[in-house]
Amino acid sequence: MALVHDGDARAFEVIFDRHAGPAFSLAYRMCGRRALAEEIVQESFMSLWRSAARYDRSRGSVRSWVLRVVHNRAIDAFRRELPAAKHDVADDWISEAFPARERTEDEVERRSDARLVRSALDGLPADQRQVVELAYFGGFSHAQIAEALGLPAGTVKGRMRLALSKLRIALGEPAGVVP
Amino acid sequence: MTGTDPSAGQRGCGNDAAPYLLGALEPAEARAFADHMQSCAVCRDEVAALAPVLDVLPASAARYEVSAGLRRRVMRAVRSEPKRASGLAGRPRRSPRRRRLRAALALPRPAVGVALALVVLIAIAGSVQLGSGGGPARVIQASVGDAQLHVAGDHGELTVDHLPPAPPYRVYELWLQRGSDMPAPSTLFAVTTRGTAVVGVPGDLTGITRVLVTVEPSGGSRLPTTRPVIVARV
Repeated sequence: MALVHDGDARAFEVIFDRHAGPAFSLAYRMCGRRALAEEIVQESFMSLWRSAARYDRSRGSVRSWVLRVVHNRAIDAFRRELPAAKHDVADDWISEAFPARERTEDEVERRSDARLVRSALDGLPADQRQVVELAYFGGFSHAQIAEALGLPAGTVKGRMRLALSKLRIALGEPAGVVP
Repeated sequence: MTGTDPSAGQRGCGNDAAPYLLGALEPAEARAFADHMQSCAVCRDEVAALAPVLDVLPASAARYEVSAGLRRRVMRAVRSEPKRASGLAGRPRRSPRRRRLRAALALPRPAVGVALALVVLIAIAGSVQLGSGGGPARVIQASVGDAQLHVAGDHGELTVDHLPPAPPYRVYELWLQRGSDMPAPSTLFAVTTRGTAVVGVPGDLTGITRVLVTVEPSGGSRLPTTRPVIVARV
């Protein structure tokens, strides 16, 4: 990251190759459209290129930092600029067009981590998992979720809190942190 | 239990931590919660405890590879956009002479953790000194922590000390303003655990009348969404 901060495009290329897959996967999971997901990823990485100085290792891995930026960008797109774009029909062909390959041991390990996280999510009560998925992957606010489900806002917030607390316990020390 | 608001934990504090981390608060709510966290240990602890879950939650999404086209577009854009903040950032952080200058100035250093929302901007009363590059260095008193803007020719470098870390999912953003125009976004930065940062001001400062720093969501904003914590008149 120090090289990226100093303007080394090749170092940035390494960062892109290492983290663009998860970044695109998250964006695609959130918006369900390849073109929009690519737009979000491109904007996010350009933002990272321009602002590498703000990366603080003490506050998490590069992977976490990249994904946080992508997540925020996607939510911004949903809420401010592209409200009609979310949850359109998914590009069903995409899994055939761009399937992730298991190329390295790291990738295998990440897939194992992914199974653990999915398993932890599956272990949540349905109502708690629902609010987490609507909020994190759907980009919906707690008020929107409350309205859609006909619940008080406090109930939605409570379910979110319970869900994250249970996930924390289920996952123990979070895995999959890539420096 | 809490920093400046001992009763906060008894008013349902912590209930917004999960929606905050999940991105489920409206922007105004998120800003208010981030401000609240500055003085509420209950909420800070809750966010710190739950945040690692958010680091691994994306792993549950099905994995796809990026297209070659996206990779090409990003790298083409990167190579056509030289990194602007690197030039000054790589310079020696501070000369012994400048350290002595700082000691002599004895700038006030408010305690780390001062609530950003309660900041009152302090008028800039810069004293002009010689910078390391031989040009004038304007020493600026910041409203939180302390800061110095060193101007050498058309270029500037902002050095900050004792600036509280931005709240989770927030970042400091630097803005350049020309006269009465709206501030233009410049670069984003974080401070070290000691509250320090050295930020090269991208581009030249010709025509720039003010350099501002605000707290913004990760990824930055197109226009300032919070009051500046540092204002420097160039």
